[in-house]
Amino acid sequence: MRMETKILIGITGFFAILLLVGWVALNETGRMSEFTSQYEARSTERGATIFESNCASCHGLQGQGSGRAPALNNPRLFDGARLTEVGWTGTLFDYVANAVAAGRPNSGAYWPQAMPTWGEEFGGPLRPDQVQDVTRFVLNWETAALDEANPPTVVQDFIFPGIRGEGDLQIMASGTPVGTNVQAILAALPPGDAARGETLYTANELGCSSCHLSGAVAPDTVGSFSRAQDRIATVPALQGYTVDQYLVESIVQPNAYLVPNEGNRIFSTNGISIMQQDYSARIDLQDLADLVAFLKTEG
Amino acid sequence: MSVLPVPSFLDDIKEKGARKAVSDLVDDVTTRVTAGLGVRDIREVLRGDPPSRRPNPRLTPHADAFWMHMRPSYYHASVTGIYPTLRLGWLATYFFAVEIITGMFLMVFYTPSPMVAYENMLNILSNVPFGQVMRDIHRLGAEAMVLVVFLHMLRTFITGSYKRPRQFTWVTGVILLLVTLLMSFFGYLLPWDQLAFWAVTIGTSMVEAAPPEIVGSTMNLLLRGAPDIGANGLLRAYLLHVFVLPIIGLIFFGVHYYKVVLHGHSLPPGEEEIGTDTAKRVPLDRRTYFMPDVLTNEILWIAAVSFILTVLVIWFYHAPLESHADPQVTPLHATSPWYFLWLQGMLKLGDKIFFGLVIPGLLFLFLLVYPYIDVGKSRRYANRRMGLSLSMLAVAGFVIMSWIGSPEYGVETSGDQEIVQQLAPMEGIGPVRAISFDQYVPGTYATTAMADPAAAAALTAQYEQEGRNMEFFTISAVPEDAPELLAVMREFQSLIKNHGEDLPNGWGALNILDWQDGLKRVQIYIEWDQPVVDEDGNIVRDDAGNVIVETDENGNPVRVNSGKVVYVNEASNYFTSGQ
Repeated sequence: MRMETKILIGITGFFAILLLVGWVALNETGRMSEFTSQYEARSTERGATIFESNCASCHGLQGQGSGRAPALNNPRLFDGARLTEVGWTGTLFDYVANAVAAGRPNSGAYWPQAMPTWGEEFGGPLRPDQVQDVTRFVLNWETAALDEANPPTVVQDFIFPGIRGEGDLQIMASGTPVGTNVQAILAALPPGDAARGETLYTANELGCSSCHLSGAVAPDTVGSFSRAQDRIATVPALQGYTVDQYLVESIVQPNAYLVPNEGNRIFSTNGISIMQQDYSARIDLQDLADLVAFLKTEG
Repeated sequence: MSVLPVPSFLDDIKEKGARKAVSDLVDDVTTRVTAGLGVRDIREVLRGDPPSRRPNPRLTPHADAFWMHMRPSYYHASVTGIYPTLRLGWLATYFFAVEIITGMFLMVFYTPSPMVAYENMLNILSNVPFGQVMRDIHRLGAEAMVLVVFLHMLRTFITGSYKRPRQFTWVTGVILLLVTLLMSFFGYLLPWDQLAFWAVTIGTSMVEAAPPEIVGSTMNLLLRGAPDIGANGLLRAYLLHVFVLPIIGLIFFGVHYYKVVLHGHSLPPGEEEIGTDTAKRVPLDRRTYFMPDVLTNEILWIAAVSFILTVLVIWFYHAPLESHADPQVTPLHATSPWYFLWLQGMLKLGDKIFFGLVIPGLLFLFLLVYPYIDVGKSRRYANRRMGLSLSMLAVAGFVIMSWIGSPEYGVETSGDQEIVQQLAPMEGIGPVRAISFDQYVPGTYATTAMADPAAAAALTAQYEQEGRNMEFFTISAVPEDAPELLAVMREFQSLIKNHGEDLPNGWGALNILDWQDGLKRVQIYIEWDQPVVDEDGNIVRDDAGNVIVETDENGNPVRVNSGKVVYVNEASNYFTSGQ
């Protein structure tokens, strides 16, 4: 081959490569975003397959929910209401992915079975990318869920402790917290249902029994009624109290009267009871009445 | 005059003027960098002019400079054409360099852990500028390098260049072939997708078979880091791929090329007397100097091959990436990489130890020692009919064994599974997913009705009478405005017909549902009479050759069904992208 030809081919070749690389560079942004959207679309498809074989039996094939688990095509999931309820400050994607991966250990209290852990990092069967697949599929209900003209069928709403729900407990069904005004409460206190009170007492949503049962941390609930009577009779500060008043005050104003510490059993420090301070905002009048009724049956 | 360059340069400017001083400085630096060639000398080399000064400055780099001292200062004119080398050794070196460069790029974006390796691939493809191009070149270059190295060996065999005194060059070459194969093979695993995982699982499975058991299991443990491929196996494959094998390769490449230069490229067999080796005794008029001819040739080749490679990866070749590796899901028809298909074919022939280890081991040993066995003096084709026939036989054997290794040969899958795999494969697209999105008209379409409304109505009435689930079995005729759907139904129909033996009285349906915004659910359904099979799984026939089918207590054929559900997202663009 003549030298001139070689030089010509060589130089043309190098310039052609430069042109091609430049052409690739021009298209690179578009190509990368197209890859991303295609990957996410296919991820939704894989998520649909995983959902159908693993999730649909409880959450419904169309995500409408069932007696075993809440609906996922629920508008409240997509309009931010649910995230506010549970106090999630991250993104909706992370919230759903987290619920899928880690499960919801507490949910067994108000559903027949707790949401299992699915992520392999928590002992479940799904890889992180599969958790993302399912999450993308669930989030793909957004358009249908928020379509106000043609709202989706939501068979089963979410349940949350302290918030109106469709489950058995319906804590704070009236929607109005009981507040801290003991006299007003006593004036309006309806008749209580001790059986429901016991359910409230043991339910995880309020968590009473986790401290009080058998006097684990706080005073034992067994003997509440007689203890209250004794205290009213012997403690000057409680003079003129009724048992109802004592019990109501203990729940909505835990610091009003402090049970003395017993040796290493500490019930209060610096005038603050170890009792949770927010029950006045988490239950309504009926819940309180039921709890008081239950406590009075504890002898 | 100062020792420092700057003041002396200033002195130069005063003495010679700025222009001359700068050009002298550039010339001086160039001469130092090239160990002997000034700017003018380089220009002459690239133009193909004869050297303008004596002694010839083009010979100094071959004596004084590190990189150039590896290259001979002149070649025999008979070996600088396409024949006899076909440039294959050079090409192998070229691809090795390409692999190192692109490999270092990819290394920056890769972590060898099953937790993130696949995510790294997605990141390279979705978020790294030039990531796809680099990955494509690396993959294509690797496959090409395997091919080129193999052809290089074949060429060396055919021209008899392995013969005395070049036996040891051949031995190092065989080792380099092995290193290339292993380097490519372990690189195969790194994307951590289904293709990688199962190809390497198959490829490493024969290690475990090595007798006695303690050796096999220990070697398997050493290689995979655990009984099965996992985090440790991936890390080991990575270290072998980027560190151990390249170093071994470089060492043997050094020896190989040193021997090539030492003995000279063997001349075409017809050019020298039988039994002589005159490669190093080059007459003055037969000398082709490295500068300018070989050098400019090589630059030309780099430009041409790189251009072809670039064009291929932009328009014609994209490195495959299947779904995430999943030890629980074995893909239908998993194969090892193509260059190990022959080994997979051997394994199908019988005993794992004999065909998977003993024979390949002996073959490798045979290749290594072949130059010491074949001591015939002549390199001429006419005198080596035996050896040349042997090599052609080996190539044919390689091709046949590869075919036996492919899923085409001796892999039995049931007809319904085969049809489902054809219509909507586990990996890749297939016809069902490739239908334009607006042609997924909701409804159930049957291969027994196609676009005929009357037949569809008759079938629906029949299924209603049989008490079937009418949500699914209400058959519609394929609408006129969905020709792609109809085409897929036709393919479905002919697939069932072709598998008529496995699927007596078979029919199929596609059920399409709107599922979510931009998401359709497509169910493939196949139903057939259960054939009677003997103990070996073969279908039993009556005397007339008809397939006998199982019957229930009323004498009716037992109907069985299977299928698959796929989801199709509008944004997946299956119908436009072609990948």
